[in-house]
Amino acid sequence: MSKTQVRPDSAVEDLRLVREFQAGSERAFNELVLKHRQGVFLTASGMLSSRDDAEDITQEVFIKAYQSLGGFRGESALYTWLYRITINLCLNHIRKRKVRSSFGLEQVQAVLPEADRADSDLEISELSLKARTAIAGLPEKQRAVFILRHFRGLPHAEIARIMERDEGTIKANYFQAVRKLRDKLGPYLQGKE
Amino acid sequence: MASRDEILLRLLEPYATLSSEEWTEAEALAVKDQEIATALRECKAMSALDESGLFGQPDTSDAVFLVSLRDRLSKSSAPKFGGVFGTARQAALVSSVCVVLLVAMMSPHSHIWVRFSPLTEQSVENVASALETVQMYSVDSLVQADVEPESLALYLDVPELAEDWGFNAASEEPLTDMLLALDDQSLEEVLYNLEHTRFF
Repeated sequence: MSKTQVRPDSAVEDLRLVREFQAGSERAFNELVLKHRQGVFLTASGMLSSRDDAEDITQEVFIKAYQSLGGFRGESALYTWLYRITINLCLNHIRKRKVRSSFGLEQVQAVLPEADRADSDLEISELSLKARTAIAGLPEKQRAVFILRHFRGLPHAEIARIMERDEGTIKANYFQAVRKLRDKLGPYLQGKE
Repeated sequence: MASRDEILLRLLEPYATLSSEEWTEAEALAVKDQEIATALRECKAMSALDESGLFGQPDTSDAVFLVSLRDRLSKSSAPKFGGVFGTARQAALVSSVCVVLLVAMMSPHSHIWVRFSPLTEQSVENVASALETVQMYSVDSLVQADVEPESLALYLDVPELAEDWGFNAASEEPLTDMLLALDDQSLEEVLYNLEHTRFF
């Protein structure tokens, strides 16, 4: 399990930190930020294909969290709540970008040139490059479901709560996303073992 | 034991979510089933994709991120510990507005509602009527109006004058009547009165 995937004991620890923050501990909030920053950033980065935008969204997520944690009752896990904010902010960001593009205020970019430029200094495999392009080419909600399931390791039920859809729809979205990716990445996936 | 279709479906899931039994089962089937073998290889390869390699790492360190976040937080609103009631500042603002509205409602001269209520046909008529009244009592009309001497005397703040002069409301031309009835004595009195009358 990667370090950005959610551990089962994570929710308990999160709740403890939330309670401390609600009691006035700013240090507890810092701990929460550091604990979830990477996951939130990678989710946003996967959704937006831009590290700069992902950084901004990550900050916005924690600002919203800071402002609303006082009312957090712990009925769902904190990471569920954080990822819901992240996905919603990303979807809003994508919508705004589309509107700006449709009004000619912003150059329409191909799926991934921004990310490719941003990571030009990184040595990435051909498979990674193709995979990134393929993920960015998924419909937004399928992309969100794929990222939350494949990279965050969240159960379908949890993703259903985040996306406010039923579990069956989420499963269908995930399998469609994986099939599309495998179709596009087939030759590269076969060559890698 | 899971069916072939079930195994194919499970191999769409991330490797990490598969149990060791599921993995062993898939491996066993892959030996003689090409489709399962392909699905298994793809599952492994997909699961090996490094997320950080795909999407990159944040440009800033944790410390820089925290400082930047704290800076933005200090410029934004305070945490909403009130839950559904919002921040203390919002609550204070809403209560202030409520108090102002309540005072406005309870005031005997609640002119504020005139501004809030839309103009109806009746209110337009009322305004038109008020304008006519103002026109009636305009300066021009006052100049042209027939003014009662008593009223004029009262207006000039010399009520005794009206009494002394014996004006009455029935007389259209009181001064002419007086002059016709004058004798010498009366004339002297009139002249005396005139001398001592202070005109404005």
